[in-house]
Amino acid sequence: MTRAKTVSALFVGLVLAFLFTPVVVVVLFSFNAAASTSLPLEALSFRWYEAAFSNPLFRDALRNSVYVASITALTVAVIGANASFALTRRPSRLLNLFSSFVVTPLVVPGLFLGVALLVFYDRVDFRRSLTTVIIGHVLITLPFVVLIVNARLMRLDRSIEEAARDLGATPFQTFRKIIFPLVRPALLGSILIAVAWSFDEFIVTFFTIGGEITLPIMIWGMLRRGIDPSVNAIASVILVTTTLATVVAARLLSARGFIP
Amino acid sequence: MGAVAGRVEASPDSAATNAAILVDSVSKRFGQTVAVDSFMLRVERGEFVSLLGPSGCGKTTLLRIVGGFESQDSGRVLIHGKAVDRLPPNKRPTNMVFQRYALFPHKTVFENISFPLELRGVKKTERNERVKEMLELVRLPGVEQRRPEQLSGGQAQRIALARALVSRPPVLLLDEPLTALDLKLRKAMQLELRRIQEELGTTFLYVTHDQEEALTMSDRIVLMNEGRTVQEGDPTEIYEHPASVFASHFIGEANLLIGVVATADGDATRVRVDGLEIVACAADVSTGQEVTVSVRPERLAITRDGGNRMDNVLRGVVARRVFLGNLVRWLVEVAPEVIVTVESRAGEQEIDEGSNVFVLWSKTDAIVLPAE
Amino acid sequence: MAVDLGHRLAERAASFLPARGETRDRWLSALQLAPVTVFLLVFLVAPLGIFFVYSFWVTRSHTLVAEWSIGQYTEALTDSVWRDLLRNTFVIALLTATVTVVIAYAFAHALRFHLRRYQEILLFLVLIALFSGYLVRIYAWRTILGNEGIINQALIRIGIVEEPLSFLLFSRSAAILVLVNFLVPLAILPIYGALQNVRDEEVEAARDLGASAAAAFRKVTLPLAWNGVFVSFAIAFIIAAGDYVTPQLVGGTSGAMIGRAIANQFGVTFEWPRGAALAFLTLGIVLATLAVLRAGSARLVR
Repeated sequence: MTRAKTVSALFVGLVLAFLFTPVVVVVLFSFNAAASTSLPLEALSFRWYEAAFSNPLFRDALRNSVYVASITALTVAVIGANASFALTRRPSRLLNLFSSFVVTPLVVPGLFLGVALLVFYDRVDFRRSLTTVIIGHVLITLPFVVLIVNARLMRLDRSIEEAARDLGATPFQTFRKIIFPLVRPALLGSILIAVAWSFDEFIVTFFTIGGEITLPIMIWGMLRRGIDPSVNAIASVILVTTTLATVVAARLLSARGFIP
Repeated sequence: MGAVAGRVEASPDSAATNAAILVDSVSKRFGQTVAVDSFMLRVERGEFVSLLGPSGCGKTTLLRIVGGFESQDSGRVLIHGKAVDRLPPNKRPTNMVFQRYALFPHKTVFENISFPLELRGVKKTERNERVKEMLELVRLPGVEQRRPEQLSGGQAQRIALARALVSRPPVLLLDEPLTALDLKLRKAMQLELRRIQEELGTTFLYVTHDQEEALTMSDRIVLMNEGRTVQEGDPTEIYEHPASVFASHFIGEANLLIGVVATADGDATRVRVDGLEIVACAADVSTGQEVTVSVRPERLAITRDGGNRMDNVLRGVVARRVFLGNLVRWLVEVAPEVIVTVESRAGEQEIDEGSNVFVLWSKTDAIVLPAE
Repeated sequence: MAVDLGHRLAERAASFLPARGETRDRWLSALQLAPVTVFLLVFLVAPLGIFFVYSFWVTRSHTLVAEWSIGQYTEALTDSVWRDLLRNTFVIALLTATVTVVIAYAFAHALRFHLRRYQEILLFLVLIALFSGYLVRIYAWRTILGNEGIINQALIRIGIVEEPLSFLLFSRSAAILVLVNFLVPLAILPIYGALQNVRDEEVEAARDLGASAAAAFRKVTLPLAWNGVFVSFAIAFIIAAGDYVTPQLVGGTSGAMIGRAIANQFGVTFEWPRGAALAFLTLGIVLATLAVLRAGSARLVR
């Protein structure tokens, strides 16, 4: 069986290399002292990061991206968590249907959602701004939160809840002392995934943003205009943020957090 | 469907305040299925009562109704004289030990046990003391800082018990708490539970499908089937005087011989079973009635010599001999298609398969039951 | 925490309602589902509805006119420009989805059956790859595949070719490559999830009863994993068909896709009805294709 193992390891390695190649390239060239995209790198430098951070446009975009991600996270946490609790409280076919409904934004291609929202805002005369961007982000990340928290809630042993009530806790005390602490890791993990997604989101953002910019929008602009090597630095900033958020989220969502 | 054969209070109200638990005509159905049917139950203070029956007989549903986790369709429940029907579980003077322990996984053993005390605002020093007291009661000192996932099944069960008892509830409800444990541990825990109950004097209402468990621990057994009480009584009474085929079948083992009454008088009942005539104890039956005669295997004697003078002497051939360590069983064919099981202590008799034997018993050991 | 507060308010509100457990639960649930329902109705259902309606209207001299006609749809289906574009899109999307699913399945299979000890950490890496960017990746591939890109430079330096290979970028294969690169991490997840449901005992039982490794795979593993495989395929197919950034950045002419055209209708070209019609037409064809594939495969994998 070790032959299958070696072949598998090789294949998996190749696939991972394939997946991470663009990432590695971007990060590599963000430290390139020269303004070219050819190997080998002659010298390393922080110049592109310096260029980016001293660019007021970049600072604006960064601030907006953080703002959008935070408000999205907050909104999706409140709306999504409440929905999850309601959906898993008692089993019912109506609620199962509803769960599927909540997940539909995932099925619709981003282009669709973006354009439909654009059309909608125009129709109801709602000016596009960061708020409309946040709405789009909430729409896309809500399914993640609901699905993940649902899964966690369904794995909770119901008798723990009954035990808490039996021993003297009111429904609210049961929620605060027993249920919420057990669900919290999954909730936090899914929120971090929402943050990661929002930080990098371009497809829907492109159509729903007003005059401001976020980091991905800024990158898009730079790509259209031509070669500006500080793009790599900006992209790396996004990468670091999303990777960090994902790593923490994965830890929270891993097996240990799932013990009922 | 047996008739109720135990004592049932005709009018509970006058003595209501004395009883720990009073269940008055409680019924509950789930959709089309009737889980509990006009159930009556009275548990005295300090008693250890077991609800015994096969799965689906409604015992767990009844327990949950008493605990407040299900609401009954009709009837009422009184605990220590107070009607609890409108009260949620946290307001009832009962605590429950769940089948799967239901320990809080994110809290240590100590925090689990002190949880009810925290809710009641008990001060920290007193909490510490009482938790320690409980851990000693269940004979698990020193595990305070462990987490539930680090406990074995038996330990977890004892912690769940400690947690349920720490707030000194007058009534403890137990829902088949020993099912998930292996045999040896279960037997040890049965004795532990009984010891703890006697030490504290708490009223225990215990649900189980294991008749041996019920016999070991209970002051009184309530045998249930299909949502109703089949028979009620202390272990000896139920074992020696089952009132129905179901009862004699469910508790202990029984040889059941189906036949027709030949004669019945105040002295004995003679029953015709497949060409044999059996003498059973006197019973309120009439000639020609179809009955079942029930005899416990350990009440039968087996011997190779003839010339015995017992009420019943049947000849047969040993079809099978089963060795169970401390017991031996012989399956003896006494008539075509009629096989009786004889049980006795190992080492007392050396009788092999194929031997011709006599099976003997006295008429007082043969109980006459209505045919079912 | 905000969720705390939300729940507390909901409970407080619910405390004014009947005390009986079951009805109170129902009211609480309704209260907790209200925000998400309103949100989805207003920002998902309404926009898609309006969008759908628009596909039946027309534009005249840069203004939207509420005149009902199916002209946009007929034009999309008859005009050869649109037909070619649609066909190209679907070829690319189908190829992409197929390649993606094959790679994703092999990966998940390797993880589940052969590299069990490293499953968790490898999956972790997949998750990181998934969230390591969309726009950034596409742009990075441009760097790698271009005439002055890494691959070409390496090939020239080693001496395999003299001129840079221009077909690496701005081509159909470039579009497929980039799409696959983005979609594989996403596709691995449903398949991996489905494979978790395949218990070792079932495969071992099949082998024990005489099946070869290939037969055990076909008769036991594959049917159980099929749902996951199909979900992955559907996700990859839908996303690929609707993508507009990839064709724009790396597709060139032969890699042109309908997504870009649709996006353009909502930019400088104020042709909203046409964009809407194209969008719904694309979606319709995608869903129809998936339905057919679903029905067909269900019979094969029994």
